Amino acid sequence: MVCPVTVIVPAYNEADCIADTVNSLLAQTLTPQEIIVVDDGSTDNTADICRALGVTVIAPPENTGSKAGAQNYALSQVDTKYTLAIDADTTLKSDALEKLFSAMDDPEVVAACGFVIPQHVNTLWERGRYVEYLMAFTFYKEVQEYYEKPLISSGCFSLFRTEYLQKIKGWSLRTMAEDMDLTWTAYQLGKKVRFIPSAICYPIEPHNFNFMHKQLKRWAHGFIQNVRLHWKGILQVPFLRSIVTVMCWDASIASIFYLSLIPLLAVTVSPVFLLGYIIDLPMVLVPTLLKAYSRGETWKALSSIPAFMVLRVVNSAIFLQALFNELVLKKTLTTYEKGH
Amino acid sequence: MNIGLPGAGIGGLYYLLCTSLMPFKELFLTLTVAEHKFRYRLVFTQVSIAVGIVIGLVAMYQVASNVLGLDLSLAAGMDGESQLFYATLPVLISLGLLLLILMLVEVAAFFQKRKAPARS
Repeated sequence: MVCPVTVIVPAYNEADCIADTVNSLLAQTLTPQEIIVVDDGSTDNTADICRALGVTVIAPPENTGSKAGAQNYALSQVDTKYTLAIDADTTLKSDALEKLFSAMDDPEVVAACGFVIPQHVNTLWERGRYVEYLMAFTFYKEVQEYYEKPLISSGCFSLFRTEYLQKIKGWSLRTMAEDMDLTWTAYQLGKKVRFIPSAICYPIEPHNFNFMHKQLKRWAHGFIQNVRLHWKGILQVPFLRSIVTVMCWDASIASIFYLSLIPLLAVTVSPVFLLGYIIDLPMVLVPTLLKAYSRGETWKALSSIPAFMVLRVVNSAIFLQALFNELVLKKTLTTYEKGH
Repeated sequence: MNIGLPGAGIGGLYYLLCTSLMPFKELFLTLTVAEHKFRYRLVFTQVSIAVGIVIGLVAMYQVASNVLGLDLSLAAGMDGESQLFYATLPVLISLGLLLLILMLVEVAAFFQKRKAPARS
């Protein structure tokens, strides 16, 4: 069955994975009306691969410099009621679009996102991210959905009402986290965003420290930029204001304690304080293992827990660095670097 | 997209609190909104996760203090009641901090709302 959806796939040198992405779109139980791949100045054969698969390929006159730029370039050519944004390295479960589409029954819903699970879980960084996603999407995001305020409609896989995207002039370039910007803007306009856990996507996550660092840096700066941009507006959005405030606290103050006070106390008072690093383990383990068990991946999840602990430390250190750069040095991140 | 310290801090506590309110909110909606159906599966799953986390945290404490023989309280030598108080002190401090932060946000939202019409 064909549905009134145009898929936008921004792509820059994605020859290794774009075929999987397009094939998973073509294999959907609900067929999108059109698939547009934006070849954003690739120097490999991304465009040729896509053309061979029979999808539309468009190319801006020059590299747009960001994912949002490429998406906006394609948005002007969308004439369907809905637009699906998907990353070039993200594949979908065969019924993902159908599941996500069901969220649009409510006319107030302008965006919907699904459950994200890393495509590859091999390296330390992929394993850390795997646990992070299982935990966050099983527990945090479900709670956010229950209170009707998912924090972000994920950039890697989200369905939008095209009218809404056009109204806000597409994906904004003013922050490094355009998906967060778009979601928070929707709430301030009184619109709804939904999280549909049964709509599953599989992105390729950063496999090494270099790429992970770039992605976490972009996310951290993007979050800070969005808080600065939207704080007055989100103060008027119940639940969202609480999540964001608590997140600000945890990412800044708690990170300082985590990275400095615990080791300091461990050295000066007692090594027992090192337990502070694992005392919240059940918070991670319970939702992670519950989801992993249902997927038959219990051992994979369990063996990946240490990697998550490493990723968490790196994540907090990068956030503090971003905070210092944005607020103290006034060095705003403006250059978009691919995270994988 | 998670930034900072997913899992640790008062964020986890916040989500536990939100989850513990789910059954009551759901019951309220079922009783007051005609077409609303109690979402048993969702609420049961999330509350189960929350209960599992709390049990896990207590078990962590027990393992650390009994099995590993670590004295986690700052009050060794105190009577049982005082030791219990000190054992739960970190949780109480975190909870108090969380409630304070949430209250401050609500106060800020209130004043922001009052200011907004005056500007327009």
